[in-house]
Amino acid sequence: MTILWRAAPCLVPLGLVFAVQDRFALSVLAFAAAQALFVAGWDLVGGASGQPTLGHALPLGAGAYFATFVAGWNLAPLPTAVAGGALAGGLAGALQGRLGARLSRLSLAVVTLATAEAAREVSSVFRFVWPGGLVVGGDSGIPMVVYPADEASAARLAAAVLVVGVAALLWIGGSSLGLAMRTVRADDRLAAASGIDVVRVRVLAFVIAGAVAGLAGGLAAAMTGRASPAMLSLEPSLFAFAVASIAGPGTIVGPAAAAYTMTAALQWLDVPGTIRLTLDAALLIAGAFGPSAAAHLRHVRHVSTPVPASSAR
Amino acid sequence: MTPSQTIPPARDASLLRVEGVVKEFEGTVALDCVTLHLASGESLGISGSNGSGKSTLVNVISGFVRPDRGRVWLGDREITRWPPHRVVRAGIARTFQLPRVGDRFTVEENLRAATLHRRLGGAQRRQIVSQILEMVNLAPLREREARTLSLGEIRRVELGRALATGGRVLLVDEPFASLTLEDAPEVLSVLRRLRREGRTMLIVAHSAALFQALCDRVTVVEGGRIVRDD
Amino acid sequence: METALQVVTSGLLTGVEYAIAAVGMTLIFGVGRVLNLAHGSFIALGAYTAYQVTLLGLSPVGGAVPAAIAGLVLGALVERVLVRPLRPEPVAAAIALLGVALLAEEGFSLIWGTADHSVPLRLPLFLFGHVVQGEEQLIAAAAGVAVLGGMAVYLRTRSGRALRAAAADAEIARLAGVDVERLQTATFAVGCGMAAAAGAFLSPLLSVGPTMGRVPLVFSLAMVATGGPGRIWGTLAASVVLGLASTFVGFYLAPPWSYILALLLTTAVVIWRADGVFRRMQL
Repeated sequence: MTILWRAAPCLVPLGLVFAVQDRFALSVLAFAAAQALFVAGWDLVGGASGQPTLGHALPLGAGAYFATFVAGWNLAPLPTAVAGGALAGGLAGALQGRLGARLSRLSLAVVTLATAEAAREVSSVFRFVWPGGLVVGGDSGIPMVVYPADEASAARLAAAVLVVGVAALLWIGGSSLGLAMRTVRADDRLAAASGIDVVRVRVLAFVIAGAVAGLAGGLAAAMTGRASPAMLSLEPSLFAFAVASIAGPGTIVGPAAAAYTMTAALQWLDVPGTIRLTLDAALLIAGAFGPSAAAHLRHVRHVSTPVPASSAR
Repeated sequence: MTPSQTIPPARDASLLRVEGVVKEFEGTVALDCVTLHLASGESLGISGSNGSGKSTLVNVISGFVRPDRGRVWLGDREITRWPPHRVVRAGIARTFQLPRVGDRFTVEENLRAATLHRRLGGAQRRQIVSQILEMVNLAPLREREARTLSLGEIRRVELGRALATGGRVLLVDEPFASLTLEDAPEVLSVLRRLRREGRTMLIVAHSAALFQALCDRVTVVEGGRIVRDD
Repeated sequence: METALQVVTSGLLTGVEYAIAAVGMTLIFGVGRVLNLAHGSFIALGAYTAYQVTLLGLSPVGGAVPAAIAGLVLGALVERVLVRPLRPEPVAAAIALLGVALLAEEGFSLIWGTADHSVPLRLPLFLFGHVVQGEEQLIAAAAGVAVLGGMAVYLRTRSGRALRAAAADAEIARLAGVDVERLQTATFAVGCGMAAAAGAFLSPLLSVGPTMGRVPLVFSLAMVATGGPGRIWGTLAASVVLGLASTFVGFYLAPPWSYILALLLTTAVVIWRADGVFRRMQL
C-alpha cells in the first residue's frame, strides 16, 4: 500500500500523455519520461545504496547502442531490442559495480567517471559497416529506426515504462534488498557484522540501476533515432547527481519527479544548451551544499574488506 | 604433514578455537601467538589494559582483520580468512567497542537488517525480531530512531542486532565502555540473562566484578600475549 | 630511429610540463584533502591566456606568468567560497568543483567562442642531431624543472614543514599552532596557479577550446593516482612516464588512444590500490 501511494505521482506523466494532443509537447514528455527513468535508476545506486557514481551514462549508452545494433541488424524486433537495452545496461552496471565495490566513495566516483568517459571515447573512435553498406559510428553515432512512429505512442510507451520502472525501484527499495542497501550505505562494517555481503549488495545496486538506465537508453535511442557518444558523456551523470541531491536522495520518486519536470520545462522552453549547462553546474553546486545531500554524503563509506596480513592499518 | 596444512581440531567441546594467531600493524605486534578456546555454552572473559590486543583479537575472530599467522576454527570449520559476513553466517556475532548502529534506522530496522541473511519468512522474521526486542528490553522503543537513544539503549540495540544474526557465539567488545551508572545495569541485566540461557560468549571488559558476574573464566591479554588463563 | 627519438624527447618534455599540473593537484589533495575536479579548467585557463598572449605577437610561454597569477587568484576565491565549507565531505567538494568546471567551460565559450583555437609557436626551432624541438618546449620544460625544484627546496623550509605537518594530520598541526585553513587556501591557490602555468606551456600541443580541460584533468588524475598517494616525486615520475607513453600512443596509434590509455590507467591504479588512492595522501 505504501509503495502504491509513493508511486502515485508517476501517474501524472501517464495522465498527461493522454490529456495532451500537441505533437511537440508529446515528444517533450516522452523524452522527459526517459530522463526521469534514468535519474530514478541513479538514485537507487547513488542515493539508496550510497554509491555516488559519475558514470551512470555508461549503462545508458550501453543500452542505447545495444538496442540500435540489435534493431539495425534485424536480430530482434524493435521493441525487444529496446527492452534488451536493459540487459546491456545491467551488464555495464555490473562491470562498474564490481570494479568499484571495495573503493572509497571518492575513488568510486573517479573510477565510474573514467569508465564512462573511456566508453565515450572508444565509441567516438570506432566505425562500423552498417546494413546497406553505410559506415556509421564515430561522433555521429549509429542510426536507428524511430519507434514508435508517432509522438503520442512514444510518449505513452515512455510514460508507462516510467511508471513500471519507478514502481519496481520503489518495491526494491522497500524490500529486504533495499534495507540491505540502506544498511550498507549507513555503515558497511555494521552491514558486514549483520551478515550482509556488502560487495554483493553494492554490485546488485549497480546492476539494477544499470538495467533501468539501459532501458532508458534504449527508449531514448528509439525516440531520437540515434545512439551516439553524447549519451555516454559526463553531463547526464552530473544531471542525475545534481537532481537527486536536491530532490531527496534515496527517495526514488523525488529525483524522478524533479528530473521529469526539469527536462520537460527545459525542452518545452527550448532553453539553449549553454544555459542548460550553466543550470546543471548551478544545480551541482547547490546539490553539493544541499542539506539532504550533505547529510546523505556524510555517511563515511568504509571498505569492509578485512585488513590483509602484514599490511598497514 | 606440514604446519601449513589445515588440521581440523579434535572433536571436543571447543566451539571456538584460536590457534597461534599473530598480527602486526606497521611493526607493532598487536597479537603474539595467541591461543585460546571457548566451549559451547561457556562464557569467557578477556581482560587487559588499553592497547593489549583485546579488540584486535575480536576483530581477527570476526573476520574484520586477517591475522599474519595462525588459525581460527568454529567447530570443525576453519574460518581464518573468511570475510566478516561469512563469519556471521557461520555463527559468530559481535558487537563493537564503539557501538555501530544504523542511527537513522528504527530499533526494529536495525534488528531486522541483521536477519536478512537468514532464510526466514516475513512472519517468522517479525516474530524473531519481537522476541529479541523483549530479550534486550527494547520493545517499547522499537519505532524510535537509533539516533534518539541513549548510549545504554544503543548498546542494547547492538546486542539485539548481534542476537538477531542467529549466531551461536557472541563476541561482546567492551559493552560497558562510557556507560553511565543509569545505563549500565540494563546492559548487565541483558548479558546476565544471556548467560543464564547458556549462550556461548566472549566478553571483553576491564572490571573483575563484571567478569565474576558474567564469565566462567577469564583470560588476561597483555602486550598481545596471553599472560593468564584461568 | 630518428622518429622514435623525436617522440621520446617530445614525450619527456610533455611529461615535465604535465608534471607541473599533476604536482599541483597532489599538493591540493595532500594538504586540503580535496580532489580538484576543476583542475582541468585551470589548465584551460592557462591555455587561453597563452592564446591571448600570442595574439599580441608574443610567445605562448610568456602567458605562463599571467596565467599563474590568474590561477592563483581564482583558485583562492574558489577555495574560500566553495571548497572550505565542503571540506568535511570530500565527495561533495569534488562534485561542487565539477560544477565549477562546467561553469568555466561556459565562461570560456562566452569569452572566446565555441570554436577551437590553435596556439602558434613564435620562437625558433632547434635541431639536436635529427631531433627538432621548439624553444617554447625547452623553456617550458626548464621552467617546469625550476618550479618543481623550487618546491622541493621549499618543503624543507620552516613553512614547508608546516605544510607537510598539515598534510600529515591537520588536527595535530592546528594544535601545534599552524594556521591550517590559511595554508589550505594558499596551497589550493598555488596548485591552481601551477595548473594554469602548465596550461600555458602545454597550449601549443593542445587544441584550445571550451571543453579542452577534460583531457588534461584525466591525465593529471592518472599521474597523481599512479605516482602514489602523497609522493610528489612519485607523481613527477609518473607524469614523465605517462607523458612519454601518451606521446608514443598518440603518435603510433591516434591521439584519442592516449586519452583512453590515461582513463584505463586511472581506473586500474585506483582499483589496484583498493584501499582508496584518494582517501589519504601525504606530502
